[in-house]
Amino acid sequence: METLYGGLPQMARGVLQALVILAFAPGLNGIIKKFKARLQNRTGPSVLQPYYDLRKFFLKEPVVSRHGSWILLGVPYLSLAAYTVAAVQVPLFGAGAGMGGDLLSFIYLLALARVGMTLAALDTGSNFGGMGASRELAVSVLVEPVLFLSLAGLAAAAGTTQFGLLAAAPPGGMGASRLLGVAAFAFVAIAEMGRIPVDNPDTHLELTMIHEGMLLEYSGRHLALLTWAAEVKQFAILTVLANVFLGAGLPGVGLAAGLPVALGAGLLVGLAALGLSVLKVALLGLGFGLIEFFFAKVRFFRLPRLLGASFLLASLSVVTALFLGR
Amino acid sequence: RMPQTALLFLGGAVAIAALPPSNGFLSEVLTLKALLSLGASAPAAPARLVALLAAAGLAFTGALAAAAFVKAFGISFLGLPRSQHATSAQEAPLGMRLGMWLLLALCVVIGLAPGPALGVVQSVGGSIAAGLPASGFGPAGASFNISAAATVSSVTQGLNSLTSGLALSLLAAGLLAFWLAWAWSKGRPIRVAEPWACGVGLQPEMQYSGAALVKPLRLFFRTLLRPERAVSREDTGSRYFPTVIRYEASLTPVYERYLYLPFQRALLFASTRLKRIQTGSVQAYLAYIVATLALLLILAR
Repeated sequence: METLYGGLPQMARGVLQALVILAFAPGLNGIIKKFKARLQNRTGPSVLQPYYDLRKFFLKEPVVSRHGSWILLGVPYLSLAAYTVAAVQVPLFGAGAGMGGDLLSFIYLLALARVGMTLAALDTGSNFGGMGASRELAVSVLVEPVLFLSLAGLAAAAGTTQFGLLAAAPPGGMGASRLLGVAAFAFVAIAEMGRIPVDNPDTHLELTMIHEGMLLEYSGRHLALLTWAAEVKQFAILTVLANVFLGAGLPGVGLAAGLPVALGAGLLVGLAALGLSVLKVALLGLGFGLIEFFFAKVRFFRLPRLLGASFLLASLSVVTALFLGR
Repeated sequence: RMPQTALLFLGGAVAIAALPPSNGFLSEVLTLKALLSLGASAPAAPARLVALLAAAGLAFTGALAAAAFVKAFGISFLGLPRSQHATSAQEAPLGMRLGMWLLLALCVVIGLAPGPALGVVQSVGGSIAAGLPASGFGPAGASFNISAAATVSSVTQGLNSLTSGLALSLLAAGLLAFWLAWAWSKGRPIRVAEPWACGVGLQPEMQYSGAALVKPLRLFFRTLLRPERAVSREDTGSRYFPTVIRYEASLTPVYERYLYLPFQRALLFASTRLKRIQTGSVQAYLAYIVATLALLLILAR
């Protein structure tokens, strides 16, 4: 790994990954939006539109609720920080990269950001914040055990909680348990990214606001930070799916080359691994965009069925991992 | 109105909800890693399954705990005051606050520098596991590797720097975010205003109450919680113009009604029957003594 980063210590490696993710995350959102627009036979906004939006938000005047406290002001920074650090835990340049990526740290950093945002939503004193907060908490209660269980199956099989080692190819290639884990994690990804069928990322209507409800009272640079944080979270979740679950490559599809990158590989290999990761993340994002195109948002009180199905898939993945061995 | 108490409560809530980088996060990581290693290396496959499902259950309770403390902290301390008591609240006296500060300091210290606390855990765990067969697992340097000889030590070595590393990186990322925001917004000052409430003035009653905040969870888990609801209304003759509407919602106390109460009734029933031997007359008690002595003499032969 030293030669990859020119001899930089681990912390610099993490910083590099953070900067890369911060730079690419809005672009990923732009690509998905453009794809959805083309599916709907529209031209759609430019792929760089999220960057323009962030610039616009930063330049606007931030208006803050009179009834808020320091929590309201601090949460945008906390949110972006927590999601960035979580994103750094996931291998992007290859197995073993990042800050020593522990899956438990990842899950609980997401929880930290979520608690911060729900508290900020309640802090505004308005009604919509409470609505967003209550729905977000309910969804998180359903999602977190599935998130943990789908990763725990991999962790128990590999004997470690380090992301980089989880991505390594199991003997015999992709097994049923890993595929089931992918299916379960896909549901989790939809819920965490706030996409249809759990939440609609395109509108600010009351009925569809989970994430947007908590952001409603923010403007200016705070909104910019929170929007960017949501995009970083989306990128991190998709990277987990791309590089941890599918990191070893599907047999016969030729994705096995490039990841996991051996420690001590050169700069070119690292860049190739980065390119491959970004490509996989983008393809997964487009896949989720396709799901948004074909499905409608599920009624909120029917979410337990949907996420219960994903819990079932995750349990099946664990069972097959234990009884089939891979 | 109660800034210090709120801050202390928040610190405690963050620790209970096991959010990084608090000591609660550390203990949750330890428990989860122990369960995961059990799931990886227990001899019987059903035991491994149960361990992994237990770990998922722990994650579930973690999410519920976070939701509970968001509700507890948010409803009590955030937003507009929801009652007369809240409006006239004052900061807690210094003595009360000192105790809370001490506990919060302990939380923070153990969270960021867990060495001594982990040493205690290690000695306890080592003494328990000394008699168990070795169950080491994973490649060298894997982040959980629990064998009989080094029960918690390798785990604790990894954890010694986990929370402080996370805290430092959170701080660094937060400062980066702060710097970016200030650089790109050219330092525009914040304007404070009243939040939008559809054109009418914002009333405290418009906010979410505690029950409303967790209503989705009550509905999701209604099979277990069995919520009950009673709505009554009075009106002046027409249904469309009510004068009073009373709404009561409660949760069935499931454990009390279906577990504790039958047990309690059975216990009382049995003890009422047994009370019959206490007749109150000395002759009966003497007869009991004689009978017991005779029985013991027969049995001791």
